[in-house]
Amino acid sequence: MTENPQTGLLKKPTGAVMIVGGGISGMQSALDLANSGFKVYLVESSPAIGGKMAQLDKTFPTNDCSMCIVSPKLVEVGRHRNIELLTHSELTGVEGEEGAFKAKITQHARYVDVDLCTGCGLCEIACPVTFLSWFPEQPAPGEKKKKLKAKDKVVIKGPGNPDPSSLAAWTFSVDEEKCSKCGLCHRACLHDAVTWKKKEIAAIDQDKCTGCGACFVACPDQFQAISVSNAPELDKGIGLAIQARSETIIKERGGREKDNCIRCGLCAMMCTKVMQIGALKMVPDGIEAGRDICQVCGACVSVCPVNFLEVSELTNKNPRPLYNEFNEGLDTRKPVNIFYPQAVPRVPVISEDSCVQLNTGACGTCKTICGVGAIDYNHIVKEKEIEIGSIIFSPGIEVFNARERGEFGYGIHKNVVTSIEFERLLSASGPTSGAVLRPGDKKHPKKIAWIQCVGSRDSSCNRDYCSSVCCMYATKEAFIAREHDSSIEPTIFYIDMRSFGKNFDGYITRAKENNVRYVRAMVSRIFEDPQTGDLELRYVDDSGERKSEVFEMVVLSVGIQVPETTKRLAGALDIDMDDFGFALTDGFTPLKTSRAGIFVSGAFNGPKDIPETVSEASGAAQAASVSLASARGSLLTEEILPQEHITEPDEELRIGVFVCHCGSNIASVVNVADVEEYAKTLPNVVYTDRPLYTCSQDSQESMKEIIKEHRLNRVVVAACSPSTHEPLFMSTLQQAGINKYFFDMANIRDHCSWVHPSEPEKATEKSRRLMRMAVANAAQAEPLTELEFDVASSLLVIGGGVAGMTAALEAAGQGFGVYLVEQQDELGGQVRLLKRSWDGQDFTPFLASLKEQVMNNELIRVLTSSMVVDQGGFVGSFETEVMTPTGGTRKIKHGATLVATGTKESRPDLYGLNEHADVLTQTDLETMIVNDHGQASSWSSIVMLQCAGSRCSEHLDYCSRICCNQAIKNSLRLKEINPDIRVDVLYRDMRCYGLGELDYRKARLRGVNFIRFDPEILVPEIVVDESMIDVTVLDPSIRMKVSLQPDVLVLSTGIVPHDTEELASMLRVPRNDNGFFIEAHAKLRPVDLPSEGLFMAGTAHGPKNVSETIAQAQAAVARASTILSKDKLKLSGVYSTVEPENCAVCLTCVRACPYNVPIINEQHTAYINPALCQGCGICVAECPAKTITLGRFEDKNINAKLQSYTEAEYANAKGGK
Amino acid sequence: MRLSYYPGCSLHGTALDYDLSVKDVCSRLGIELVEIPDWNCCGASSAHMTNHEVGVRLPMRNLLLAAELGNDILIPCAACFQRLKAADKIIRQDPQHWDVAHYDPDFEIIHISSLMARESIIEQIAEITQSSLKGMNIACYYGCLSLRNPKVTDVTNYEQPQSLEKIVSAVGASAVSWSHRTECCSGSLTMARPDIAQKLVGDIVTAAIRAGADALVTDCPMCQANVESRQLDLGGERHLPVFFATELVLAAMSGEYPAKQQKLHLVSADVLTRVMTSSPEQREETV
Repeated sequence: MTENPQTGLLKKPTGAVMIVGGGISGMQSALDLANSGFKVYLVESSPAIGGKMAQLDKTFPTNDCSMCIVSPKLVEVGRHRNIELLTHSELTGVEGEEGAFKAKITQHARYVDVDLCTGCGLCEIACPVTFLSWFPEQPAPGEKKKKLKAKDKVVIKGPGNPDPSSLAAWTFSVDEEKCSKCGLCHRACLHDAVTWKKKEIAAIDQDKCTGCGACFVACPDQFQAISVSNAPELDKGIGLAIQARSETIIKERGGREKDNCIRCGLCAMMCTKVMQIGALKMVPDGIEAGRDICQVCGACVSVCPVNFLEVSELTNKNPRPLYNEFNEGLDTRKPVNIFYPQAVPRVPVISEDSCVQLNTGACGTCKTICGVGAIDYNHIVKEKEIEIGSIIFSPGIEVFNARERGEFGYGIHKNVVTSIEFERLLSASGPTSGAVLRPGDKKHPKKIAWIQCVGSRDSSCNRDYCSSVCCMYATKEAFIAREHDSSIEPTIFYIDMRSFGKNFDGYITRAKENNVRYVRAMVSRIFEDPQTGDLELRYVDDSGERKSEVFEMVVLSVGIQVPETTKRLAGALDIDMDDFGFALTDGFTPLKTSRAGIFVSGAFNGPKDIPETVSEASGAAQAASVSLASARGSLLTEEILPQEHITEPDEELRIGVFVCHCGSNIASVVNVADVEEYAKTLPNVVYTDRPLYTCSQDSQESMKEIIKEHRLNRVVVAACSPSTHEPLFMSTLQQAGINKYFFDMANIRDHCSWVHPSEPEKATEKSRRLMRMAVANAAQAEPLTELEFDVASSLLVIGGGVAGMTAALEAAGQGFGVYLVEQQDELGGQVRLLKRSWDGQDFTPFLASLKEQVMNNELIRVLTSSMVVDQGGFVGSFETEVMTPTGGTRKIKHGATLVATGTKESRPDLYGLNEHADVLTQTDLETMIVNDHGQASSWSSIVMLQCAGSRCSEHLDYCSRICCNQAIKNSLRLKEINPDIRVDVLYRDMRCYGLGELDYRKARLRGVNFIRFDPEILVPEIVVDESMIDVTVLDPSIRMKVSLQPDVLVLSTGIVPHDTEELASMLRVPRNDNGFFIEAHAKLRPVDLPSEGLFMAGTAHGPKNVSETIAQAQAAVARASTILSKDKLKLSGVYSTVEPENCAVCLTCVRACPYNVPIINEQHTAYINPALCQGCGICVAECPAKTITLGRFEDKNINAKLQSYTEAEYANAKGGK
Repeated sequence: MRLSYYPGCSLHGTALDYDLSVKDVCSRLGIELVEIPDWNCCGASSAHMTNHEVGVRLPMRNLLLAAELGNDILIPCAACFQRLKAADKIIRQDPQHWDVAHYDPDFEIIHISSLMARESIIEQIAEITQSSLKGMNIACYYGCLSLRNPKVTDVTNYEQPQSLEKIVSAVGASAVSWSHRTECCSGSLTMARPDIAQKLVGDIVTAAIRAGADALVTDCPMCQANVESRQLDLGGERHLPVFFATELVLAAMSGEYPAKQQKLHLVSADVLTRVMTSSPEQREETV
């Protein structure tokens, strides 16, 4: 809260947050804030939200489709009533202070009305412009427009003389009243069809006329004496009419094969009548082009039905194609362009640079086709001022400009692409529809190389940091490329394999098994074969031999960087940055910028992948809202759902069926039109449709209208997976006023097009049946009601380390009560044993202050020496038993649970650890450096062994992520104490991700030796006995054995999670083989546990450093706030119900339920608490008395589906399709 | 424009014709060259590898002489350019060490092709050109010394330079796209290790032929001599002449390519004569 200086009273802060940047980070922050009671303004400079993630094809390490997992979020943000989207807009300034900021936003002119536009995309199809024009000079105001006169004329000739065609020809006639008797039409006609004599009105002989329009083009503008009839679409505009004729000709000729000029005259009419240039004229042997006046817009070429014209022949200037930025310039776009197919908002922007209408006043074709009048060429830039309490800055990153590493020839060698370009090549919505084609010649490449660290870990171009994501995305791209085309042989050239994240090493192993080849080498140069376009790569391999290898395509794994525009904006906002433009933050407040009230998230806060970005985004939402807690809910708009239509028992069934194209995802295999036609024949189906993307915002809007207009009472969508998209469609039903359970989905993407791509007919047949079954099921649907219950607004935190304490304080800051349960008798966790953070800060005062704040916060109840022994209840209303030191138990009521059980250092009996005094762990070493200065400075030589008992199947089968940075931190400390000390670090891959790379470089410059070993080839020999430590290792950089006798041997042993087996089974949440808790979704729900209302933070989730832990603790609280901030919650209407009459109390359900929900109640019958039931249906199937039913999945539903299937089978057997 | 001119020993010996063509082209471009009086060795040959002091003091004398003239310095030889640039940087850091009281001359050390590739001069070349070299496919070959090390040469686009390509297109010829433009020609090993020299030159010439080149053009006298002479030892059917950039420009500007000049090449240079004597239309058909 801020204090009002005049009154001295505490002024309520503004309960709104502005988020700068609409990528995955901004979207996650927006949703968390809006779902916990704050108004959000989301400012994005692009025409649509989605950011880099929307451009990616698949995601590591699960190979989930990026668009499939992000699009529900896009839609949720787009339709959230408390998120105001300000796309195509820029933040220009911020005034005021935390709690009461005023921000100035410039909304660029879009020229399309966001509210009116339906996203149909017709304007984009109708626009004839395909190049960036050289617009003619415009007359000064009041001056008359001068007719352009060509001096440089050439005639474009075909193989012979043009072959006139009268296909769909228009009729031209002379308007006698307007004719000025000049005779220009007569001279222009090449078919002798116009008769004219001096001082006489011209006349057209329709028998001779071929409909080329030469007369129409020649008739001067001031007379306009040639009238046109018999031209479809002419009533809307000449541009549309030209296109309509072009399309008709193409259709009638059966395609658009390159051919000789057919004298349709459309090019000349387009140039003169639409573009008002007049550079083209028909002459006896071809088309005459005025090369000097051609504006190079490309419109003539785009309407030519026979591909006769080439832009480069028509002009003396260099044609400038309009590259599509979303597809990384791999294909082209129109001046009016929808950013990408699933864009939110799906509203085009008209580009001021290239639109002919905006520059010369000509054309205007798009406006004539728009059915809703959304196009407005008079849009102007608008300035908007908004009031907010805090700001989240998450502007994202761009990729490194690969031209700066000239030796790879990017931009010169056509088959050298960047990794983001390769993502677009893999993407189904990309320029090649997912076919891996090399840009040079559109051939399918077999041998593809990836070169890592292009613009990362490179001080020569001021990119000293590691970009953190490239090792993994390159592996993913190689993996997926082979999925698209199994004959591809991928090779990845890398320095260190930095697969440091959760489950990443396993992904690399799978990639290797899937024939992805890894070569540890930095490629020095690429040579292009000028004839084949193949690329020769030169490098030095492990043995020191110079190698040369030819590939057909090369992908440069470009690093990420902060764009200059972002640096300028951040500078203007007074956000401090490091040398590379990343935000400068304190390791203990990792999301707070140098300016109070402005928080940071995502890759602008240092390179990071999607899950870490999502985690930070939730954390930033927490950080940005905690000081606004008192204003929660003050600026919200409540959702008002229409009164639900109550169905009468005898009401007529009216089913609507929507069959989705999913772009080309479904439509490229399944005949969508056929499935839709089939739906029309099914009983009770009164409406069908086949949208391009059923889930897009505009489709959902129109679905609402359709439901109302056609009085639909059941809806079926044949599209993708209900697990990702059902909630979206159901909420649309609710908004249309019908019960959301009057709905069913058929998954014709995953189950048809994706699994049967080579059998389109059978896939279509399967789609018909699945859709038919869904229709049958929907016909049997019953309306279900959802239970509403009160939420207990307190949080249970299990574990009192840094994660738990941070979370407790953050939740208390939001005004929620907190129970903090710690097994030990003291708070602090593992960090008590550590001395300094990775950024060199002292842990002791930090921990002390954290503890003090926790102990003194009246909203936090600390229960030390206590443990959770039982948890009951459900999201929003948990009841947990905690055993206290007295041995008694205590019941706690809370709305959400946060697991922060942490890890400890691993201490395997390896190399004399735990026996020999001179064998230490990194933590032991840290303690010794701090506690006993003399001892550490007496050492003259020290060896550190990385991955000691890590990344191996016998001990810890994972990477602990923190050890490399810890080893470097300790090496540098040792070098500070004694610059002459010899430090040898034996490592497998130095995983100093992100800005950790800077210290790695510093350590090398200070003389720390790094010796790599490969356990598959040779493990270092280490002999430890009473007298000495003897280490022998092969140093690959000098290719010789090195013998070392250090004073101490330090093992980087990694970290292991505490034993949480009992806790996990009590909370009914899964852990992975290594004992870390498994998140609800590896990419987009990194701090959620799979059970509703349970969250996690810190190392219980996976290894991470203290800053990452703090950010994650904040994130977990933000996620919990979306529950705790609500007074009431609704439960799913799908739950099992026991009919007591037939219950034999056999306990089958009690035993079968994986969630331990059924109990035997006081009436001696089985009872299933609807709030706890997960709706899995196992008890229903198991019950011998068949007395348990599950809403949506009753016998009549299943029977209807089965019957519908067999009926189809029967119909097929009879020969009908 | 008035420039100080440092020819260096190559241009007074094996590459005498380079010297003449540079002077002729400059005079046609209206650039006045003032040869640095009493210039001496640049230190490129053995000096800089044997003794750092000598390697700096030799070019230093030239720099001090040039500083008296005051103009920017034009250097056609890549090795001389490299040595004078290096020495200039070293002396600026600590003039006292080099027994110079004050060293801060306001001149730029310019290599010939970066001068000719300046936009205004390219336009001028295109204007003056009498006989377009249209139809001639040229592999532009830079070698190393005029570009690398970039910390010495201050060249930004050292991996993918464009200056020779610009010059070649200004006189109407077309530059082929190939990847060996900055490969080492083995100039420093040509005497000591002819085996290596042959392999490297062989790679360069083969790549240029594969790219469809009729000739190479360079701006370094060592590259010119080495690549043209070494390929003869390789055998093979086709050899490519290596022209100096100024040699081509002069031919295009003057509209003639004297037989005397042609004879200086070890590989037949008649492709240039052919191109200059046939009409542009004929060329399109024949080449």
